[in-house]
Amino acid sequence: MAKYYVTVGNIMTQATTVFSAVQTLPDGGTLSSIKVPPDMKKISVLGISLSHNDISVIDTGNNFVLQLSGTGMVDGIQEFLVGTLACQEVGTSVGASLAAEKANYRNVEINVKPGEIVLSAAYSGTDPGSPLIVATLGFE
Amino acid sequence: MALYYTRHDSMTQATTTFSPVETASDGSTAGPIAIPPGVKKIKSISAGFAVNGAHTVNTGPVYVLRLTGTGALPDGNQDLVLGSLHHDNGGGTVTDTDTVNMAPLRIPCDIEVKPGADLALQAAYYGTDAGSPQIAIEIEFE
Repeated sequence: MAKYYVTVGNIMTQATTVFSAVQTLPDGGTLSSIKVPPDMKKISVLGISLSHNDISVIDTGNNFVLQLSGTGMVDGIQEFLVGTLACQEVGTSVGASLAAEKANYRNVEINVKPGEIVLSAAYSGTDPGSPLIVATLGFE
Repeated sequence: MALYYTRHDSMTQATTTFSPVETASDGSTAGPIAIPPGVKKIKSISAGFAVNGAHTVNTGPVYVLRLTGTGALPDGNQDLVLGSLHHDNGGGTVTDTDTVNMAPLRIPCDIEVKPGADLALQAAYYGTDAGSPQIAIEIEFE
């Protein structure tokens, strides 16, 4: 069970299938890499939340991948499928929607060592606007 | 035996800024949670969130909880993502009514705490300001 939690996020403004850094702290600071906490041997929990931050571009559907890399990764770069966002419109109507989604917490087993962990994210599919991704790593 | 405490608050702050979650369910300003004697860890965290009032259209913030408090957490502050709430209105002016129901998020965890210290809850969000979200947190101690 994880005992040490770190959270970073970012609005993804890059093009499709391009990784960009996920490095903003919840207080607005920048954490370009996460230092593996002392005595922590693995990441056992990965929490993710995705959202469209503004208008979601119609008729787009995207899958999102989070990449972990850096000197703190024992087994090298790891990539995780972390979710999907989609927006559809029929004809020329203008609709509205309200979508709530709990963060998805999953168990993982990622061996870590003293060093740095760098988070990056990418998506496949047509650019949906400005998706927002927030990730929590749980160490133990 | 487990012990359960709740706090809630209205989030009126700007993006990526933490503010206290310190109101009790009876409306009093309870402040931080005094960690009970004999307790060793937080076993789980439950959370709910919804914009109370008009949810600004075309916004979809993601909410984050911070556990903090002087001497309360031997491993330091803990930040956990909670989820998102998106109101999409496209570029139009359609009049609509939307509802959403959501069971609380529950995060099993194993966060060490120090009995007698005060555990402070804070919340922040990423993304564009959606209005005044209400956030509620339940802490399960063991």
